[in-house]
Formats: sequence, C-alpha cells, structure tokens
Amino acid sequence: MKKFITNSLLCFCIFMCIWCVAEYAKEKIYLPNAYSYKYKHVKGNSSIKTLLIGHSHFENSINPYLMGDSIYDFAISGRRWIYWDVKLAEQLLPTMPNLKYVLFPLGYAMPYESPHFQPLTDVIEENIYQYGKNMHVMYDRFPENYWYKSSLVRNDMKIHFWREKNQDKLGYYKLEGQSEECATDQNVDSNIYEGEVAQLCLNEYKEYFIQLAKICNENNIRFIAVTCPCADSYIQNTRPQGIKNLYDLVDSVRTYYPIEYYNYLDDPEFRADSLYYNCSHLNSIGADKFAIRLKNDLGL
Amino acid sequence: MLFNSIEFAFFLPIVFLIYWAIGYAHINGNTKLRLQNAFVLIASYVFYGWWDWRFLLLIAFTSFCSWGSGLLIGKSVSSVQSVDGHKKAKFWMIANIVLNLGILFTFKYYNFFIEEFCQLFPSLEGRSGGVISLILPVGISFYTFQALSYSIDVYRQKIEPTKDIIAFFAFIAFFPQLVAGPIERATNLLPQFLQNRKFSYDQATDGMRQILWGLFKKIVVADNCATYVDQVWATYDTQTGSTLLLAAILFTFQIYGDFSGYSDIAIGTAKLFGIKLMRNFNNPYFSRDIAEFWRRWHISLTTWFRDYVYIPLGGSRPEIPANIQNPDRYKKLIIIRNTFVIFLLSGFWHGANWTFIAWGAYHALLFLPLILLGKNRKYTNQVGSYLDASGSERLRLLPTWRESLQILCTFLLVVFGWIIFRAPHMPTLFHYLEGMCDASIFTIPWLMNKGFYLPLFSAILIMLSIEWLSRNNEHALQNIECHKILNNTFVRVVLYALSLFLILAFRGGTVEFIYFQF
Repeated sequence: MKKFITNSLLCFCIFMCIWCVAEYAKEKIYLPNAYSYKYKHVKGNSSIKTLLIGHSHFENSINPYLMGDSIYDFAISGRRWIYWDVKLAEQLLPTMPNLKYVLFPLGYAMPYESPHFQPLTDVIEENIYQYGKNMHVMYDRFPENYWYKSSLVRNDMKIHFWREKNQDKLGYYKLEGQSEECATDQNVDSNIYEGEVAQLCLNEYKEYFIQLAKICNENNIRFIAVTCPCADSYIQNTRPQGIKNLYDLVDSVRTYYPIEYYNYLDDPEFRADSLYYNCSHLNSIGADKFAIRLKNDLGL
Repeated sequence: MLFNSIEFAFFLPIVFLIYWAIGYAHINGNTKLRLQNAFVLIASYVFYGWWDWRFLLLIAFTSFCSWGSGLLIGKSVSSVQSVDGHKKAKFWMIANIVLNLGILFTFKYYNFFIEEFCQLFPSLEGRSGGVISLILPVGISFYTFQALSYSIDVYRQKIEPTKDIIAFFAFIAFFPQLVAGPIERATNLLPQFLQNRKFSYDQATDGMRQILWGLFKKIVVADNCATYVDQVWATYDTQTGSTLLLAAILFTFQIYGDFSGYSDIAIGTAKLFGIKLMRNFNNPYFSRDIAEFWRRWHISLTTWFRDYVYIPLGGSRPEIPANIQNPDRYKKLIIIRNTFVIFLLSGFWHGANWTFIAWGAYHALLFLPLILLGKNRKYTNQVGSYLDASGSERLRLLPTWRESLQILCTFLLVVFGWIIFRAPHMPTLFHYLEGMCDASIFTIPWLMNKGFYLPLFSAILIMLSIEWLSRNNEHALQNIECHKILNNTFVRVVLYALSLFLILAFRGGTVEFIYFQF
C-alpha cells in the first residue's frame, strides 16, 4: 500500500510539473495567430488608408483585395463585444497617420451581447484571453482569477499549440462553399432585442459606439457603419423593431459625431443562397461581390 | 457523478483511502468486512445520488425486494424438497422478475407503448390516460438485470442466498459498475463482498493503468468523435454522402471508445478496491464475422441474454417433441425464433425506440446465416494468431490478407448497424441513408479543421494499434512493465503522468457516457 501511494503521489507531482511547464510555455512561447499578427501589422502602420474592424462579418464577408489599395482587414472572427474595438481604436488609430476610413460592421444581433449583463461564455473567455495576451487590451472584470485560470482546465490547451501559421497579408479569412451547419445554428433569435437585459446591452453598445465615433472623429477618420447582407433564412427571423434599433443607434451617434451608415441586410443583389457560407456570413463568391459593391457605394 | 468529472477525481482517492484504512484497521475480520461493505454502499449511494437523490429510493427498493426474494426462494428450495417447495421458489422468483421488470417497464417503456398505441388507434388519444412525466433513472437497466440474475441464480441453486443485506446492497449498487455495467452476475461479484479483501499492489497498479486507458478512449477518442458526429447528425439533410459516411464511421469509434472506455474505468476502479469485475469488451472491431463480434461486444449483456433467455428457450439445440414430423425444419424454426428473440430484446433493452428494435433485427439477420450453417463458432481463436510447431498459439504482428478483408467487411456491417442505432427516429434513419447513398459519397468529406481531425485520427490510430498489439491481454496497458524500456518503475510513472496530461490536453467537450441513457 505504501509503495502504491508513494508511486501515485510521485505520478501526481510529475503530472503537476508537466502541467505547470505547459501552461508557462503557452504564455511564453510566441505562437503567432490572427490576433498577434493583425495587431503587429496594424500598429504604427502608415500605409493603411482603410481599416476594416469588428467581427467575422468583415473578416470573412469582404474580400479586401477587391477594395482598392492600402486596405487592411483588422476584423477578428469570434469577436463578441464592441468593447474590444473601442479599446483597440483608442490604442491604435493615433499610431496610423494615413488612415482615412474605418469601416465597422453593425450586425443585427451584436448590440445585444455583453458580458456585463450576461453569463461569461467560452467565446468571451477566449476573447478576454486573446485580446489580453496578443492585442494588449485588458479586461479587468475578473482580475483576481482569470489570468490564473488554466488552459488545461478550460480545455483550450490544444488550441494554443495548434494555430494556423499562414496569415493572409490583408487579414482576409476566406470561407469557401457552404457551411455544413448552414441555415441552422447561425440563425438569429427573432426576439433578441426584447427584455431588460437586451435593453441594458443595447444601451451599453450605444455608449461604446459613440466612443468609437468620437475616436475616429478626433483622428480625422471617416467612420462608416455597414450592416452586411444575410441569407433569407436569417432575414425571416429579423423583426422591424430590431432593424429600427440599428438606425436609432446610428442616429444616436449622429447627434454627436458624423457617421455614414449602409444597410445591406436584405439587399436584393445578395439574395442567392450560393453567395452564403451560412446564413449570416458570405462565402468567397459573396465576399468578392460585396467588396466590389461596397467599394462603389463608398467611393473608396 | 461522471467518471470523467472533477468531482470523481476527488471522490475516488478519498473513498479509496478510507476503504483501505478500514481494511488495515486492527479490528476483527468480520467487522472489518462489514464496515468495508457498509462504506462501499455509502460511497456508492453518494455516487449515484449525485445525479438525483430520489433515484436512491428506487435502487434501495429493488435491492431490498431482490434480497428478500432470494431468501424466500432459498428457503422454499432447501426447506421442502418437494414439488411444492419448487413451486414456491418459482413463484418468488417470478414475482421478483415481474416486480423488477415492472419498474423497468414503467420508467423506460410505458410512454413508448402509450404513444405507439395512440398512434395505432388515433381515436383513443386523450382517453388513454396519456403519457406520464418520468425521469429515467440512470443505469436502471443495468442494476435491474443484475438483480434479476441474482434471484434466477438462487432459484437455479447456482448460488446460496445471502442473509447479509449490506453485502447484497453493495453488490447491487457497487459504484464502479452501477450505472453502465458490466452487468455482473451474483455468482461472480456477490461472493467477493462476502470474503475479506486484501490490498494487492499489482492489482491496484493494473487497475490504474486500465483507468488511464479507459480515460483515453472516452475523453480523447469518443468525446472528440462526438463533436463531429453530433454536428453532422444535427444537420444531416445538408451534408454530403461522404460526410455522412465519415460521421457513421466516427460514431462507430465513438460508441466503442465511450462504452469500452467506461467499462475499463469501471473494471480498473473495482480493482483498486480488490474486486474483479467481468470483462465487457474484447477488441470487437477486430472480429472476423458477426458472431465473433457478438462474443466480443458488451459481453456482460450478451452472455446475460444467452444464459437467461436464449438457452432457456432452447438455444441452438432445442428439444424436439416426438410428434414432430420434420425435426430439422422444426429445429431451424426454433433457432430462428430464438435468435430473433434475443436480438430484438437486446435492441429493446437499449431503449424504447423503433431504431433500437431495427438495430436488433438487423444484427439478427446478419447472425442467422452463421448459426443456421453452424458457422457461428468458426472463429474462437485469437485473430492474427497461428499455432507453432509445439502447438501453442502465437500472435502475428499483422493480420493475414484474408483476415484483414474479413475484419473490414465485419466492420462495415457493424458501421451500418450503428447508423440505425444512432438515428433518433426511423424517418431520420431513412433520410440519412438516402443522403449517404448519393453520388456525393465520392467527394471529400467535411473535416472541420486540421487542428481537429489530425489529433482525432491520430488518437483513433493509436487506440487501434495498441489494442491490436495487446489483443491477448485483458486490456491494452496490461503487463506493459514486461517491455524492456518500461520495466523501470520511475520511467513508467513519468509515462503515466505524461499520458494523463496529453489525455487531458486533447480531450473533447465533456459528453455524458452514451450508455447512461440505457
């Protein structure tokens, strides 16, 4: 029995050592990913004139190669909160002397998400980790425990050591064909804007949105909000009140700062299912088409 | 409490230490045994009550009735050596079977029959009393069958009824195998609760290795497969044929990793307590025909049905009444009937769904030709083995071409069976098969991303390779100390720690064991 317990304890200690080394390595070894690559590329870059920020609607649904020179897609798929855009804009826009346009995706569902009023999801945890580690935007809601929360416990150890190494030079992440889960799990909840929590999220979103416009204004940058096209299965679930909230958001900014707004949500040109990867993201064909359309409409 | 949960990681060492602290205490042997059994019972009830404490009442009731019926059967059989005594014993045995199956039926099958009945006679809908809202108690099919085996074995005088109620309750509720087996026979497990147990270093280390292997199969292979399989099944109508086929193959590995992983953890955990449970899997995917597959898959359930249903029905050697004109034809009909009965029952045991019944029927159809041609026991030797000059069995590194082909064919037949098993309803099954038998089966399947499929396919390959190489052993990591590099204890301990880390680092999302629902 003594031998068994001794060996078990020894095994446990070695396991703990391996765990600690792996966690330390994960923090210290530089493993490039979209966050770190994009951040390094953008910071202090004087050649970028147009910057796409925000989430997957821009990272995947616009082909920057078709939008003219000096553009960069700084959007990140999985970005679930406008807070990161505001903090990055504060930090990076003043370092980009030739930046003329900032394009921001104003999605139908996005204003109703905030970790301030909703439970912390895995995606938000990943955001907190990645934006903190690779983009130097800290979020201090859980300062006492978050940074010590183990990757092994969170079950994302393998993600950190298995990154796609090749990053696109304009930050574009192409979605090919149609997603296997097309038209089902990406669908929006039709009543997403209802309830007290949704209202709190919307108000917070409005504040951040105004801040974003303010930063652009202070840096003499044209701030353009764009609602990307979505497939019919998505649009069926949108409601007039939800659409109205988008316009109200833009109006609330306009009382303080200039902003342009383009809504392509149910644009007739983007009705074919073949243009979509899933119901809220264009595929590579759709992204080409949308980039050309956007370039013409914005006069870039 | 799940074996792959953090709670269990704390629960197991605590229970282990207290259990053996009692075992090493300077007290009378009988008192020690009773205390150990009582502690196992408490620990098992804590383990089981972690899901829902109300289930405890049911398992306690089942245990008490089976224990009581065992005593009554024993008393009837031994006290009166007459026809009356046997009649009484039979009565108590049947009473216990009816009671246990009644409970099982109520919780598991009642709603199914009501719904089917209402569909058959739509005019009765609303007047039938309707479905009742019941939670299916975890592992009810497993412990019910274990309880049934006790009273039948007492009736058959294979085992003496026990008066030790604590030992009996511990036998029914023994936590490693309570919720998903192996379905133990009273003849094997109960006597172990009635004799003093001593700690064995070799047995305990072997148990730990088996737990490690079970964890690998469950949380790396099965749970990662589940991520893919669940996504494909949720959207099967938009998938290509090749993706559906890949999902079917991955489900084949998922269910094996899940269930055999559970069994390994259960058997390994029991070894830590000095208890030996029966083997539940013996490399089923290396089978050369369906009959061999069924000798290697879920052995405890298969042999249960064989011993308590198939053989009493006459098995493959039924008694032929003298007045039968064509005995060969009669015998064949009885064999066909018996085969269908056990496979359909086996399917139905898994749950109240037509897909399970169809799965059972499908396997019966595959099994029938073999049994009718008398080839069902053709492959009883180890796959990939040969007899050397001295007549002893030796293992080849690789199977022969013929064996490889046989294994592949059997595997594909089994894969098809798992599609039936996995389908939530019959219409879904037909749509899935329709989608799979499409020209798109020749396209490249959806693979999620490299970070997903490379580790998963590597894990499956590692599992198959290690199990192939150790196919003569009870589990894949048994006797690894015999290898030259691993005969040093420290090296092995480092390897275990590293393996555990890798298992945890590459684990899939936390998924409940598939067989918990049965």
